[in-house]
Order: sequence, then C-alpha cells, then structure tokens
Amino acid sequence: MTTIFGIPMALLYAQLLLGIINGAFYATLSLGLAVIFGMMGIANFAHGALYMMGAVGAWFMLNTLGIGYWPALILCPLVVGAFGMLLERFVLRRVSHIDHLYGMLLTFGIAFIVQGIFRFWFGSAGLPYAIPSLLTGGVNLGFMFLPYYRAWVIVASLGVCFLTWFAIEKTRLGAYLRAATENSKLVQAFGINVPVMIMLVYGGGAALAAFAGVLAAPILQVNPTMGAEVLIVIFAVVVIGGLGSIKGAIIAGFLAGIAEGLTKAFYPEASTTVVFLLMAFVLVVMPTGLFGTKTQAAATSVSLPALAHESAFMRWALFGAMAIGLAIAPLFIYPAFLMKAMTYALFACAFNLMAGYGKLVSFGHAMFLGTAGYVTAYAAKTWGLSPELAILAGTASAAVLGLVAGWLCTRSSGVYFAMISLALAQMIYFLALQLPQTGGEDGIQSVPRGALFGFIDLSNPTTLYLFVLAVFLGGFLFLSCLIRSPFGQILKAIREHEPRAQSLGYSTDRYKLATFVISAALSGLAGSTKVIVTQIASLTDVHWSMSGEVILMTFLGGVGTLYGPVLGSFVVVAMQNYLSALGAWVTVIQGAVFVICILTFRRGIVGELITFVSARQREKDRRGIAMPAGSKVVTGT
Amino acid sequence: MSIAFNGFYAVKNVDFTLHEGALHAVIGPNGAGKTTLFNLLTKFLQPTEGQIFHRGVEVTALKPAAIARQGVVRSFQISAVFQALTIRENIELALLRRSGLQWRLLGNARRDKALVERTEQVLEQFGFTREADIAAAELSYGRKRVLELATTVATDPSVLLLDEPMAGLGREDIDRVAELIQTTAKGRTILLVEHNMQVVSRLAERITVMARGQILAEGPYSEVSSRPDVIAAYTGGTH
Amino acid sequence: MAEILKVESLDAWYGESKVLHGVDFSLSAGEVVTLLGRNGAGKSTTLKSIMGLLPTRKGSVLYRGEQLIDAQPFEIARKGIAYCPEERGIFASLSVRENLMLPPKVSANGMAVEDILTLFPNLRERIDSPGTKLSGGEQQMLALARILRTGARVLLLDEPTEGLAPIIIKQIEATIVKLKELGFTILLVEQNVGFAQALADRNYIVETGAIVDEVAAADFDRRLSSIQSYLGL
Ligand SMILES: Nc1ncnc2c1ncn2[C@@H]1O[C@H](COP(=O)(O)OP(=O)(O)OP(=O)(O)O)[C@@H](O)[C@H]1O
Ligand SMILES: Nc1ncnc2c1ncn2[C@@H]1O[C@H](COP(=O)(O)OP(=O)(O)OP(=O)(O)O)[C@@H](O)[C@H]1O
Ligand SMILES: [Mg+2]
Ligand SMILES: [Mg+2]
Repeated sequence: MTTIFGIPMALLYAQLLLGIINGAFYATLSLGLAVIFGMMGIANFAHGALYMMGAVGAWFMLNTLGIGYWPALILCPLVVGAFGMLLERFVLRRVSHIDHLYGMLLTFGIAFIVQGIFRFWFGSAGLPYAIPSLLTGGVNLGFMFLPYYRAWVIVASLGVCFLTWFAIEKTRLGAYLRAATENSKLVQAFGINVPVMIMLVYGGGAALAAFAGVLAAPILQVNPTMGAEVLIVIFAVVVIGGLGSIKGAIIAGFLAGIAEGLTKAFYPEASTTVVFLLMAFVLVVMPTGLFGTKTQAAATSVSLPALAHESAFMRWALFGAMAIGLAIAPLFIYPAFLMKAMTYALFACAFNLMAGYGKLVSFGHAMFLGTAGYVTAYAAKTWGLSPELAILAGTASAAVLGLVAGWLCTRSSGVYFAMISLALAQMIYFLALQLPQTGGEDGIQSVPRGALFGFIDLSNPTTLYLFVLAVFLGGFLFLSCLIRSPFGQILKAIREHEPRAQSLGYSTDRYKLATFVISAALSGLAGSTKVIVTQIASLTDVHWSMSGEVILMTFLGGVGTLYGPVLGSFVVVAMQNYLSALGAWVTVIQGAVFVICILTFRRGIVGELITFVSARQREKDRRGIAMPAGSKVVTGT
Repeated sequence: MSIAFNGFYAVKNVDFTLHEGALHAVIGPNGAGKTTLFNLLTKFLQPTEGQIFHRGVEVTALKPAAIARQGVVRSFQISAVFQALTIRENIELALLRRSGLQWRLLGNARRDKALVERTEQVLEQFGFTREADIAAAELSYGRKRVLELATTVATDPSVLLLDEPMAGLGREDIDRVAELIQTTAKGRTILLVEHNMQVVSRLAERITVMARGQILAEGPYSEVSSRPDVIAAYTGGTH
Repeated sequence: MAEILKVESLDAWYGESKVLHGVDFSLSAGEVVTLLGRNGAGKSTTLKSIMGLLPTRKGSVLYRGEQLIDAQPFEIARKGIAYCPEERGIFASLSVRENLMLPPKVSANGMAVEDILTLFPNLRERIDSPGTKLSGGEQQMLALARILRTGARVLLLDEPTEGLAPIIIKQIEATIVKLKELGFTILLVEQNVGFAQALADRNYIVETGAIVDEVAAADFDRRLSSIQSYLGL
C-alpha cells in the first residue's frame, strides 16, 4: 500500500473527503454567520443553536410527523427562518440602535435557552437519521469509495453558497445592508425600510444554518449540543475569510475543513486546534483576513455610565460598605460560595478594565485565569512553594502571557481583536490538554494550601476567607484607583477616538498593551487565588466557555462600571450554585435571565442604577440654572 | 515628497518648507491633497517617497504620537473630539501629557493644581465654562469644532497644523477664532488649511496653492491670489 | 404658490433635553428658503426632526396636506423629501459609486448620473475608491450628488457648502439656481450669509429652538444689520 510520510494513502483520501464535507458544512454555516455579521454587525452566537434546530427539526419531522428528508430540506429552513425573523423583530431589534456588542450578547443568551429547551425535549443522546433512499450507496472512484450522499452534500452547499453570494454581491441588497450597519438612521432617511430588511437578513441567515443542519442530519451526530461544538470553529472560519466577505467565508470554510481533515491524518490530537492556528497565522499576516478589505466601521458606542456628581466620600463609603458586608457575610452565607464569587469578581473586574474602559472585548480571557491557575498549582504541589510565592508565580506567568498575547492582539481592534484572543486561548487550551505537567483531563488535583509566609495557616477556613477577601479588595481598590488616574483617563480617550489621542501625543499602542498586561495579571491573580481555594486546577478554567462566562458576568452587572462586574459575578455564581438542582433547566434559566437583563437594563444592573441617579442629578441642576443654548466664544486673551 | 494610493498620486513631488514663526496657509481646490499633506507631516500616512525634517532632524520614520510629542500638533478636518467625555475631560486630556502625568497609574489628575488652573483658563478662554460638565456629544456641530481647536491649542504646541478650523463655524465664531489664531500665533508656527478666503487673507503671511497633488504657487497672499492660474483653479473669479 | 411643507409648533427632544420649542414655518413649491442662526440654535435639529430622525418629536409636519408626524423616516423619504446631513454621512464600506447609487429613486425626475458627474468632476475621477477616502470637500460633493439623483422634490440641505473651495461653491450656487428653475423646493441651513442672500427667496432666523424672525429676499439689505445682530456679528 502506498504511504505518504508513513500514512496510508487510503486513510489520507478518506480524511480528505471527510475534510471537504466538513468544509461544506463550515462554508454554509459561516456564510449565514458572515451575512448576519457583515450586514447587522452582530456576531451571532445563536447560529449554532439554529443549525442544531435544523438537524433536530428534521429528525422530529421524520419521527413524529412522518415528513421525509426532501420536504424537510425545504420546510426546516423555512420554519427556522421564520423563527429567526421573530427573534430579530421582538428581541434583537430592541438593542439595534446601540453597540452591536449587545446584540451579540443577546444571541449568546438565546443560544443558551434554545439549547437547554432542546436538551430537555430530546435528551442529549444522539438521534439517528437515515440517509434518504434516493442517495444510498455510492460509487467507487478507483482510489476511494464516494458515498452518493456525501457528494450531494458538497453539491448542495456549493449551490446554496453561490446563490447567496449572488443575491448579496450582485444586487443592490448588499450595498443597502452594508450602509445600514454604518448608519441605519441615514439609510432610512433615504427611503429604505431598514427594519424589514434587517429582519429578512437575520431570517435568511437562520434559514441557511437550518439548511446546513438538515444536510448534516444523516451523517453527523444529531443532538442538542451539536451546535455549540461547531460554533467557535465557524467564527474562526468567518474571520479567516475576512469579515463581511461572502466569498471569503465560503473559501475559508472549505480550507478549514481540509486543514482539519489532513491534520487528523497526521497528528489527530491537534485537529481541533488547527483551525485556530490557521486563523492566528492569517490574521498576523493579513490583519483583515483573506478577503476582508473593509476596515471595521466605527460602532455607535454607548457612553460609560457616570454620575454627574460624586464625592470622594461617597466612593469610600461604598467601598467600605462592600468590605464590611463581605467581611460579615460568612456568618450568613456559605463561605465557599463567597470565596468562589470573589475570585470570579476579581476576574470580571480585570476583564472589565479592558472591555469597559478600553473597549477591547477579548474572547479568550480564560487563558490568563487558567494559566495562572496551572502554574500556581504546579508550583505549590510539585515545587512545594508557599502559597504567596505560588500565587506570585501564577500572576507573573499570566502577566508574561499577557505581554505576548497583548503584543499580538492590540495590533487589531474590534472583532478581530476578540478573535485573535480566542485563537490564542484555544492554543493554551490545547497545551493544557496535551502537556504532561497539567494532567490532561484530570487537571492538577489536591493542591496544598500551605501556610502564608510560612506561618499563616491557610487550611484554617477563617484565615483562608480573610486572605481571599484581602486579595479581592486589594485588586478592586487598585483597579478603582487606576481608572480615575491620568492613565485611566487616557484609556477612555483612546476608546473614543484613537487618532485624536495620538495627535495629542499619546502612544496609544503602548497604553493598550499596558492595559492588556494589567488586566491579564489581575485575571491571573484571580486564577491563582481560586486554585488555592478550590485546590484544583482544571481544564474548565481555560475553556472558552469560561471566557464567555466572564463576559456574561461583566455585562450583566454593567460593563464600564466599577461595581457592576462584582455584582454580576455574584449573581452568576449564585445562579450556578443554587439552581444546579434543576438540572437541564439551569442553562435555560441562565440564558433567560441574561436576555431579560440586557433587554430591561442594558447598561447592566449597576450601570442602569447609575444612569438613573445621574439623570435625577442633572434634572436638579437644570432647575438650578437654565443653560443658554447658544453660548458664545469669548476670547479671554 | 510623494504618496500614492493604489497608483493614484494624492501628493506628488511636493517640496515644502515651513519657517519658524510663520503663519502659513495652504489653499487649493477640493481633493488637491491638503489634508493628505497634513497626514504626511504628522505621520498619519507614510510617504511613498521623500523625507520630512523638523528643525533639521529627519523625522520621516517617526510615529504620529512621537511627532506630537515634538510639539507638532494637528486638528482634524472632520471634527474629532472625545464624544463621551465631558468638555472638561477633553481639555484635561490635552493637558495631561505636558504636565508629565500621562503614565501615572494611581492618583487623580484633579489634584494637580496647575493642571486644574490651566483647564479653567482654557474653558474660560473658549467660552465653555458653563457647559464644562456636559458630554461633548451634546454640543452642536459648530461648538464641537471650537472644542477641538481648544484642545489643540491647549497642548501648547510649537507647530500647529489646523485643517479647516472655520468650517461649520458661525460668522460670529469665525471672527473670534480668527482673532484667537492670531494671538496663539505669537511665538508659534502655524500651518492652516482653509477655504474661507477672507480668513486666509486676514491671517496668512504666506500662502501655498496646491492643485492635483502638486504645488501650483507659493508666496505672499496678495501676489499669489491674483495670479490667473490660481484664480482659474481655485477662486474662480471675483470673490 | 402652493404650500408644499408646513411645520407647526414642532417640538423635539434629544433624550431628556428639549431642543426645539414650537418651530413654525412653511415652504411653498419651488421656493428656496434658508434657516439662519448661531451655532447650536437648532437648525440642524429642525431638519432632522422633519425627516423623523429624532427619537421624540411633537407638533405637526404637513407635506402636501398629509400629516407626517408619526411617519417613519423611510416613509417620509419616499414621499419625496431628501436630506443631506451636516456630517455628510458618507458610508465607509461603500465605494463612491455605491454611495451615489444608494438612495432609491422616489420619482422619475431625478438628475441623470452623467449630469451629476459633470457637475462634480472630482467624483468621476474617484468613482471606485472607498467613500470615506475622499477628501473632505469631495465627500461633501458626494453627499449632495447622492440626493440629486433620487428625484425627490423637496431637498433639505444642511450646510452644503461647508469645506468647499470657492470655485465649487459657485458651482453649487449655480446648481441650486438650476434646481430651483426645475421646480425643486429647497430648505437650506447656511452659515454663509452671502451664499444665503444670493439664493434665498425667504430667510428664517432660528434662535434657541424657535423661529424668531422672517426676512424676505427683497428686505435683506435693508435688514442686514438686524440679521447680523441675530447672528452675533
Ligand atoms: N487613504 C486614501 N486612499 C485613497 N485616496 C485617498 C486617500 N486619502 C486621500 N485620497 C485622495 O487624495 C486626494 C487628496 O485628498 P485630500 O484629503 O488631501 O484633499 P484636500 O486638499 O484636503 O481637499 P478638501 O479641501 O476637500 O479637504 C483626493 O482625491 C482623495 O480622494
Ligand atoms: N445628540 C445630541 N444630544 C443632546 N443635545 C444635542 C445633540 N445634538 C445637538 N444637541 C443640542 O441641540 C441644540 C441644537 O443643535 P443643532 O445641531 O440643531 O444646532 P445648529 O443650529 O445646527 O448648530 P450648528 O450651526 O453648530 O450646526 C444645541 O444646543 C445642541 O447642544
Ligand atoms: Mg481636506
Ligand atoms: Mg448644524
């Protein structure tokens, strides 16, 4: 048998075919995602769920309603498309006038809900779906066997890809949609019914996802979590292709599938990481992806909630209240819960420094938390370092990682920034899974707590609690001073208008890098402390869902506010702790709370509070002095 | 100096000297390359060919922020203020660097007496005292332009590049801003792009006329503005 | 002349703050009318609220006798009112050509693309470059050109001469005169009093969110000093 680099040719062909088929799914899926992203500016986290709805829907139609494959191939996308339109009309539209980030967060919540409900209905086992009788069997190509159904998948996706590309690039629609993402008000003022158009686009994207789902049903595992698994790969594909480029999404989809297939033949362990490696490589060489020419349009930003007046006294009073509250809380609440919440709160605050004040939303912040955790655990367990040194080592490692990652990431902005950080985080995850020191799936367990500075025994629960409290309050205090400092002010200015900040003489890159490193170090501190508390460092801390969770906490509480992330983490941790008895419903409830929070108080709980108070303050001011409308320029010199 | 975008020369073989202490205006039809010249001088664009010297030292390779730190500060044609920040904060930002506070991670800029005083001065000078604590986004377009000028002047630059400072300003503001530019010009070098010819004739000692990326004429205002080729390219007859 | 647009006691808010306090005025078909006023007087806000671009507005906006106060911006545009914003609103992700072709035609009597490009030769040269890579003045030309194509009969122009070279201003002046001859109705916000005087049939003075005076073209010279004092000259 012929071999290449020791791999049998037949295996290589088989993997290649598998790669191309996966590529076809990736292409169809990322196409919908790219359309929604390019036209609405929303990174649609519900895309995986919509795909899953297509596949599970086909199964449901067949088994309950007796509707076969061919009708389902038309019906399912229609139903899911209609569902998408409703979602857009009644949920996403409410945040369409503010930063697209909020739309993204809503889809994030929706994905949780849909997946939870489907898991409740259909369980999490695989649902078998037979290949339609017309396409059973296959043809022998001489060097390999090609099943008909697989050939059909490739043909069908190519057809759909072409149609979509044509509808958007070759008609006026594309220009309308792109313009509407930039300034939808103005496009409306030109006489275009933007709301209906957006609704149709989202519906269309959803239908594309469902179409891919039905195509996948006979050959992939149909189950309610199938969407979540494929989702971040699809994101990477869209970014590789270049945001906003339909052609790019299609080509990158096939490219990613093939790369994955080949890696499976040569080095199977890396097959799930290779797409991210590819993405990182492409973005470093071509900062806007393969076909992305478009520089990201300036998103309409929500301004940071701020009080019209606040006194130093008020600030310290609030901080004091929080400190005292947390100090006596263990008398009433489970200390383990409080400690967990505090470490997450510190993590969220660190994330908030970048996301809120620097407007750099990273999708990979878990890498700092996790890396620091592993280093601390290893240092404490294998080297026997005392906890303060172990924590220091963990924090330092996160800072160094932050320096490297920051150097790569801060050269881009917006979604590209988020995606590069995600790619790096996926590589860290891969390392954590593969390196012998990290213990793979098991992680590093029973990490000794040891004695602080050699004499303060941390195995005493009270001491441990006080130690965590001190770390949290220290970190919080540092951050709150940081954002008021001149450094913090400049950071906010860069967030607003980078060229202007440069023209005032600030090296904006250095400020962003510094912010990245500080944020990474504090996340590391949180991760290290967490390991000392829980005595285990595991893969969950470097998984991308952890990065998602920190986004959730921060935005729930109020991004760009001091206390928001703290409150957000307590709420999320509390939900996870106290709702866990409800089983499958936890994700549904979590998603629902998240969606409701964004819809009702989109500045987050704390942000909404601040806005309310400051509106009243302003009202008072206004009654005090009536402002003249046309103030004059007075030349004083 | 030249720069090309996809083969289109926006600025082509321009030799340009700005003398210390001068108040120099660049005029020219739309798309002549004036803003591009500014972008080149402040390094927001990298020239395809050519060199730039500041006080005899080559600065062609520097970054925009480094140029600004040498005292060469620009304003933008399409207004650039920090929208979400208050007017006071906008001005403080311009002042922070000069006060050497820009890398302070802790502490509050408002504790710095000199900075606070200077901020008040600037607010007063530009008539923002009463509006100091509202967000810049709430200003009307014209007032935003004034704010941008205020922050640019506040950095106390030695060379000031102003891109159409009068655009969008009301008549009453134009006179005041012109006066302001005149006062600021003492001891500084100013390069001005402007389409308002009354302002140019009043302020500028020398003018350069650009057209199609090249320099058409240069010299004292009265001399240059009456040249027939300039009239044909720019003013279009009596004005 | 037939009244084409009538605005009565129009109030408008930006969030909490009320910016227009009962704006009243009317346009007759074929007229050129300017709004003059200081920075921040509420001129742009008046145009925006006619187009329905502000979150809250109250009062009455009648277009050919039809009430538009509750209409969506796209409905207003389709009736034949076109708006050219002061920040120009050129789309960065669209080429010059796409920007130009973006607004759908609302009637058949718009200008032909060829005529527009002859009017603004700069645009012809840069037709395939990205919209915001144009120079400031070229962007202004594009913003104006864009609405000339649509065939709208009423044009709301917010400072269309800002940042343009004198020679182009003259061309625009000539264009507006020509548009007027063609029967367009134009509401113009201007800082350039000379430009306004040359074109306008009537001028309204806006101050702190209300119309405080009206000056007919014939009275312009006679009342120049009072106009100047309104504008703070
Ligand atoms: N980044 C760019 N990419 C492509 N073309 C550009 C770019 N920047 C400028 N141009 C082109 O270069 C020419 C000169 O532009 P510039 O902005 O310098 O003109 P200007 O003299 O400032 O005009 P105005 O008075 O209208 O502001 C224009 O034709 C413009 O379209
Ligand atoms: N987005 C906004 N939010 C809050 N207030 C605003 C906003 N835009 C404008 N204003 C306020 O509304 C008032 C009127 O503004 P408008 O833009 O209509 O003035 P204008 O007459 O067009 O002035 P200019 O000549 O400077 O363009 C001003 O006092 C301004 O501060
Ligand atoms: Mg310019
Ligand atoms: Mg205005």
